[in-house]
Amino acid sequence: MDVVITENSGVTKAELTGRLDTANVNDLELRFTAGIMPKAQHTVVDLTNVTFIASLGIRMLLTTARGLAGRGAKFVMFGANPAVTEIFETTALSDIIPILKTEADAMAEVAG
Amino acid sequence: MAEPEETQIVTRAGEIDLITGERLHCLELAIGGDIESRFVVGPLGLKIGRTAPADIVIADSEVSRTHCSVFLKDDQLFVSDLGSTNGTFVDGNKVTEVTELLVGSVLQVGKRVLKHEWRTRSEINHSNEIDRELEKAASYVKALLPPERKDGPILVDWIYEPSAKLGGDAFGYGQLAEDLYVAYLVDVAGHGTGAAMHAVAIMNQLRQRSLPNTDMARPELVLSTLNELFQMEDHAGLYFTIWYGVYDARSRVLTYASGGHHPSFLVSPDKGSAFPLQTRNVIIGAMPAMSFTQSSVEVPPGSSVYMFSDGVYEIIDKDAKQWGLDDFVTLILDESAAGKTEPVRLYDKVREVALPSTLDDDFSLVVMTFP
Repeated sequence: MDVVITENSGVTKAELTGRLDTANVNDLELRFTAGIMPKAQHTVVDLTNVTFIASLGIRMLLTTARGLAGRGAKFVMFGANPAVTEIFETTALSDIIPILKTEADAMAEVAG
Repeated sequence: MAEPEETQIVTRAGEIDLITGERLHCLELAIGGDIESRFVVGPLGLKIGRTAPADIVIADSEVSRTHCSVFLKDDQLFVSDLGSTNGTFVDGNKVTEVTELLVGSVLQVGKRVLKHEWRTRSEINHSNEIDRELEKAASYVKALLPPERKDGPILVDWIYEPSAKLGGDAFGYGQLAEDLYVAYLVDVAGHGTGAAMHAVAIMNQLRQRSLPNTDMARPELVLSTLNELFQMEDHAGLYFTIWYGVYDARSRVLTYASGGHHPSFLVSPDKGSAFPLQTRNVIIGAMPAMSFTQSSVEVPPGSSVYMFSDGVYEIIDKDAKQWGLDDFVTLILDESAAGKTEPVRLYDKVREVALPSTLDDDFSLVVMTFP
């Protein structure tokens, strides 16, 4: 499990790779939030290479999204595979965090 | 996909001179990143195998009855294979002769790995204390679970197997009013006593039917009230999912709502079909002022409802396949087993197919049959 955080035109991009299970979230969460929250700017999360998300992974995403919302910044995800999409559907997470197909869609969402 | 990169510090115990106090050689069996069990290696060493009298019993079909042994010599730890069928490995290398197991090394036996750690007594005592606290919390949750029911309008069997680090599962059922029965299962995200105590707090509200200004017979209202009461910012960042159903024994109608939870399943008496019972609602505590919906279904005589937590199916099987809900539903529709309740049959089956290291969440499953 890994996270790579970059910045492009004032938008933070976080690229997650691997299984977002309990053990990995424990290792990753601090790097994820510390790489995003202090910037307090719109953020897109690339889930293309994420194969599974456990409840703690959802909590990490949700906490970050809510933290950014409190600072007036958007948090958008894209690229979820069918298995991950099913998890988002079950939790209705897309009612709270926009989940889009492509990076271009995500960038358009935060720009809109 | 890139594998997680790990840094492994391997050293001889005797070469560390910064340590004060007595240290003990330990083998630690991990599950999902947490230590499931710790075994202190004493002067007599330890034998590892699939069954007793091995000191470390690993119930894995790839582990031989008497698989390998570890022993101390001059305060160094060594491993010896005892003619196992599938071999013993140290840091990925097959053990063909007596091999030193350095501190930080990983011993692989079947599908399980044990790490050699060098712990002080105070570290072990502290860890044991935490384990005892987790056991106490698990006992407390268990004490709140209702007894199985063998007669009445709903027959109930269940199984609750908390994970080594204790998840946040809890469930309950009972009578709301004449001819009205309720059942619910909550799953708090996270592990440890915090998640368990949060589950207990939620369950107590539901057990006492004490939600303010809420008709407990209307699942959508129950979820809405819970969502206002348990916003994650007010509860240490914890959220939960829930399935909540109310059964009217006169009309045989089950009204239900799920909050971020996968469906429960209504299974026909002949096990020919499993109908998902789910309404699309957000997880509880994620966002205030959300609206919730409920739905209803008529329950045919002899059918059953299977209500469970995600710990029963979020596993990786021994073919390295990540399971989804469909895989578990296939198991549900398998024939019942003589002499076993349905929850026990399914628990045994999941344990049989799962990679042990992925059984890292509570396993809670309630089967309600409606005669």
